Amino acid sequence: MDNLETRLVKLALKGDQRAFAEIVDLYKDRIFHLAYRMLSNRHEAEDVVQETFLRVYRNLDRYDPGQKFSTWIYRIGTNLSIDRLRKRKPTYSLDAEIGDQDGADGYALIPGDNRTPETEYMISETRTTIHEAIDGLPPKYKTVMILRYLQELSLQEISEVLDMPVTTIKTRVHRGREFLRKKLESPQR
Amino acid sequence: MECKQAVSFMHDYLDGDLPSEQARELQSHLDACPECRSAFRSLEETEMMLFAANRKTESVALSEDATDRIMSFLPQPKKHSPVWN
Repeated sequence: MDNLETRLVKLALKGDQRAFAEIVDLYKDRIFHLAYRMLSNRHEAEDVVQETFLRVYRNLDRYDPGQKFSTWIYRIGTNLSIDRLRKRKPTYSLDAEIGDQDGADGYALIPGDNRTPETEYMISETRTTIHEAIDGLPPKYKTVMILRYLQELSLQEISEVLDMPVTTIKTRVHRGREFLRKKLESPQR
Repeated sequence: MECKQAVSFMHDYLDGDLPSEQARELQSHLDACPECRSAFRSLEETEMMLFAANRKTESVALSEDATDRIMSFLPQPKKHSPVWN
């Protein structure tokens, strides 16, 4: 629970490196998966993880224990991922783009382990389709959909992470969902 | 109810945010409108697929020694003075 993180932060602030390592252990995979889904690139995702913890470490004394630690670290990880996405692509009007994206933005899906049993083939193929569909979303929708479905944050939590009104988050989830519905219904485009 | 309103209710429903009175209105619209019924079914399917996509462990993961690596990149510890206690 949050109390654990708060205790670890206090210890880390006093210079206890092991306490900080515990924080890293607790969050590294979540931040990695978040960044990996945002960026579709393992190397960049690892960099984001590294930068996230560096920032957390440097700004530990600014962490407000009244706020959930997870919200704070997700915010840092999300912002770093968004920054990288922005640098990668020219900016364009996101609203105008919806419905026009096909996900072909040069990413390569990293192959999973190759001994996937046949029975799991369908599931894994569906999953790939979904991840590709999410990848094809314009960034502002993509961020919200990843936080909602792949990190399973609530609308309220997403609103705190992104520092935006819940109504905005809802609108984006609704539009993102419609987009994905169309995408998943007609795989041939 | 107009179809546009129904679609908006569908999303609120999937968000777990549709008051029961509106849910009943949505239900009676769905009973009457085959198009919305099919749209709703496919939205529900999308929603299930989205959550299901996360159920399996990710095929990519950080390496075992990630924590050590991350720690080794941090600046040397300095004494912070906690602002709260």
